Amino acid sequence: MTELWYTTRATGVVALVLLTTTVALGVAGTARFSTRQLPGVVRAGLHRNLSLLTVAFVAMHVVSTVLDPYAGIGIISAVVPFSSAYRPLWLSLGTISLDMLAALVVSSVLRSRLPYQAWRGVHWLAYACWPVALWHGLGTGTDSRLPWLLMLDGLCVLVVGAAVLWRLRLAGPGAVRAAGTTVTAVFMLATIAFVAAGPLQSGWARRAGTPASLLHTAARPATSAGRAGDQS
Amino acid sequence: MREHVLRASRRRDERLARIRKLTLWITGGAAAASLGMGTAFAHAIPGSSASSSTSSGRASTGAPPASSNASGSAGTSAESGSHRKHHHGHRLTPPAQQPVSTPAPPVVSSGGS
Repeated sequence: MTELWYTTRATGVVALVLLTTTVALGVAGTARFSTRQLPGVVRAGLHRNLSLLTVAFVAMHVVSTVLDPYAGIGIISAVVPFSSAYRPLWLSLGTISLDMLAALVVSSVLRSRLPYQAWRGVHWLAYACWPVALWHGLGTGTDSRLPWLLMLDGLCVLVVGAAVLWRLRLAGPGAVRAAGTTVTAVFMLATIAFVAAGPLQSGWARRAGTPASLLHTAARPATSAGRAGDQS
Repeated sequence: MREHVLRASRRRDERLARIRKLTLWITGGAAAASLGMGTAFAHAIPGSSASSSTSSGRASTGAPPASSNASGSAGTSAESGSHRKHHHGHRLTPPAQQPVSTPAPPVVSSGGS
């Protein structure tokens, strides 16, 4: 079922791009960003609609992953962190991101029934959701070393990094700005270092925690044989 | 006063229409990107089709050549799985001779009973 495998890859990448756009629009919203071409109402409406679109693509990503029998990722492993034998840490980052996204959606649906501060607190999870999803893609992504995908991931990091730094600059000088700038810079450098030392190096499939049974299937010349190798 | 309300209402409708239009464009773009990326992955990463085992596809994966991994660890052998497929998927060459019909008469054997 290689089609499911490619569906998982494609929907995962598109979901990350949509999540990046959603986060950037959300950051712009906190500063009441508005232009003639993009009035505040349009920006807020787009932010809401793109969030829902992101959820739809994440749902497709998860469903196709669960349906694909290759890695044997069940529905439990899709929602409970560290319950899968396949690349436990990196898959769990995706699971955590999914759980955070679910909390965001549920709290937004129940927004009228929740205290504003509670909803706001949960909504901040969106900012944690993005880096976790990015690292999930880089660590579990079977295609992280493709040049065009590396460029796309780099673009996502640049967009969110620029949006956060722009927002921090608006906040004015202070401890929050300094801490935020430092955290953003450290995150960007850590991501670059991780990619260079991890997915770009040979042997990543084994180091990432791919089960030995799947590693050995790569030695067979079957249609699915290339997949363990590419799940590096 | 009435004109002011009408203008505000019209502006609101325009903005809602713009949100709808942009959302539709982005949704269409995301769907098209999914299809395009699925196809790109199928071509860039071996394991799906004959075209994926071309040398350009191998180069794009950035993995080391199969020969260097043949005696490597499990991890490296897994990563070279795609190249093994490529190795097994050598292009077929045409036969040197055309097939000829046998001069012997066909033999029919009964299945029993």
